[in-house]
Amino acid sequence: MSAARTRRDRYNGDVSELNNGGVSKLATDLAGALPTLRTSIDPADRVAYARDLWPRHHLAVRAGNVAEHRPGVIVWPTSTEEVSALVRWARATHTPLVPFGAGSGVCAGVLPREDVVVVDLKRMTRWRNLDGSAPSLEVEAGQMGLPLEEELGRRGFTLGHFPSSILCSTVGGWVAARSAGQNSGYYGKIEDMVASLECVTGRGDVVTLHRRTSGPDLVPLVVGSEGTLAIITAATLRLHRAPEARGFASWSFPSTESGWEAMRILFQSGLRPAVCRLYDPFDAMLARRGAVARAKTNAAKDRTPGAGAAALRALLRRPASFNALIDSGAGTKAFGGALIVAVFEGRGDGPARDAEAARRLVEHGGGEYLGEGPARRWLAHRYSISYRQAPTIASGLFLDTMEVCATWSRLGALYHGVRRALGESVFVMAHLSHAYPDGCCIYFSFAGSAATGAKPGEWDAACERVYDATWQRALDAAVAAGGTLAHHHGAGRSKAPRLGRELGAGVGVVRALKRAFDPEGILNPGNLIPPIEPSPYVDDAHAKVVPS
Amino acid sequence: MSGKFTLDRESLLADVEAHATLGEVEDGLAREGLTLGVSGLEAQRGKEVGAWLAEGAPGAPDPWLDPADHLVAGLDATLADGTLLSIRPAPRRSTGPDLVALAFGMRGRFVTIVRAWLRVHRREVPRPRTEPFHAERNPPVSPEEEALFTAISREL
Repeated sequence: MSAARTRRDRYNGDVSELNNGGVSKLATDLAGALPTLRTSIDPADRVAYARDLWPRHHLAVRAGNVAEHRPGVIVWPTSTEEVSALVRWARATHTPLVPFGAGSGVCAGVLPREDVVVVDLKRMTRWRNLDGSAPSLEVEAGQMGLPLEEELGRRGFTLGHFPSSILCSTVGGWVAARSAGQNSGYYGKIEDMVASLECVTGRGDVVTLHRRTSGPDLVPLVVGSEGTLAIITAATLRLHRAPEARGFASWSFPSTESGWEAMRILFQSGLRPAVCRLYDPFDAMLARRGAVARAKTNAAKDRTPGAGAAALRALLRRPASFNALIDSGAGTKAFGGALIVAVFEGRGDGPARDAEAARRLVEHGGGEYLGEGPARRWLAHRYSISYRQAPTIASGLFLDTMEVCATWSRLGALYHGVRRALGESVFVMAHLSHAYPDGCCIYFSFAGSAATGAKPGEWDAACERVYDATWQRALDAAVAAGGTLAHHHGAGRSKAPRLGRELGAGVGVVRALKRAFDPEGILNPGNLIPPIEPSPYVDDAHAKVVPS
Repeated sequence: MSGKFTLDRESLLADVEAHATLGEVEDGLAREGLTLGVSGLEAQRGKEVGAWLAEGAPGAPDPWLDPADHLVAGLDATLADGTLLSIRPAPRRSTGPDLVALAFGMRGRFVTIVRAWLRVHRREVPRPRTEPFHAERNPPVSPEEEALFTAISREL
């Protein structure tokens, strides 16, 4: 038994030895009402569950403000019945609950306080029914991503959902945030995979919602509701037979625009590459070099400690000129142009034939065929880049990603509008990795630093100011261009203040849904829905920090 | 166009007024080499698009066969109090619940559709098909779901 487990058991139902008034009473009340529910008020657990992976949290941690938003109690239910009992208790005692998967969210969907109980679903991992004839799988919400795919693979199936967070995310988290995986071109996003959902509403009722292709369907309302309408406890997911074969192809383009035109033609021709990723010239240069190889090489260099970070900080204090240089024709040429990598999946020679058909279309449109190599290299390192944040943050910088979406006819306005807005204050690059017949997602990655003149003692606060202002400008630009605020990361608390810019009267509709599903407002209050009144739950979200 | 819809050819989306009939839309699309891809269209030609969507778009392409595609990219609808709900067209989004679900297949229970952005298809391009999915397409509505419909109606 692990040390952590021992600590949890020690505090389970016995909190008399603790001396933290509010937290202790909350835990005592909960233990009295639900004595078999596994709980913890261990300080280490409360720190661990104080946040998700919102990059702005990282700046606070760097500044020494570790876990400002600790929950009062963490619980680990093992069944839908336990979740229902917990919600009924919470409703009766007006205790806020925050559902928790694996904590990989990046929009502050988890930002508790001491009167909050965090509900970690990861002990609910049962496979209730694998129906090989459909094929489909009914699985509990706490099932982690990678073990799910590995076990499905051993049985000859795939869900086809491969988010970059697959190592640290759950089925319930995917559904709650409307997640997208790298193979969305063939398998769709998570909302395209859900056949039914079991969830516990804010009333404590257990309901199973069924997707209907031509009838009333509440599934799309709970998918993407980010823990505010119901706690998702299980999902029936459509499966596919595991692919027997893959086809690979890669092309370079003189510009990002000509690359996305090729993507549009591919998807409107009826082809469905599982993976189709377009990198702008700078991002393409990184992809060509190979992120993993580069990191190992850099680590081995004998260099002055911190020199590279200092140089980068200085460079990123004036990102506009850096961006202009890269966006210029000379920059594009120097980096070798934009790049598409595509992977087709299926059976027999189908993927190879599709790759060949794609090659004819793309070459006709001006793409230069680069062979299979870049696409194969991408597949081999598909998750490598997602775990590089910590060294960058530690070096005094900040970074983040922004995924927005629009129809093809508005994509140019979205790309240039958001890129321009970001580029005023941060270094920006982009790739387009989720394409559809009618539009595409643009995934911006950006890195920044404190503005010129920031003093060492104020560095982190200065970084936060630049970070907040950057996000505000970029979200406004996305909406102005006709795009969405998010494609698959969700809104969380970080984008909630801007939700009305996209949804308009839809914000009031979402509030009405909240009242219908969760009349006491106990489920993840403050998340997703813009507060009518100032709320302590969003005291460090973007809108408040930077005056407009 | 027929005056009841406009075409975004680049995105293959038709911006259709709710009172346009399926026949009017399909005839206009046919002149552009496009189609909604609805099976059994002849029997529904006189049906208005808003009503057709509120019924769940019978005859529309099965979404399980091409998960990367969809039928409704966005829509405008009015609530019972006259408030206009406008969901801008996009292939996908993750900005909370998908409010299209309050209109599609709900038979006007929550909102009245004013216009919709619908996916259209080139006639010469065969529809992509993934593997079949053998699940019940329209299972009966449970009492628990019905209770939620009632609660939503009350709050909207």
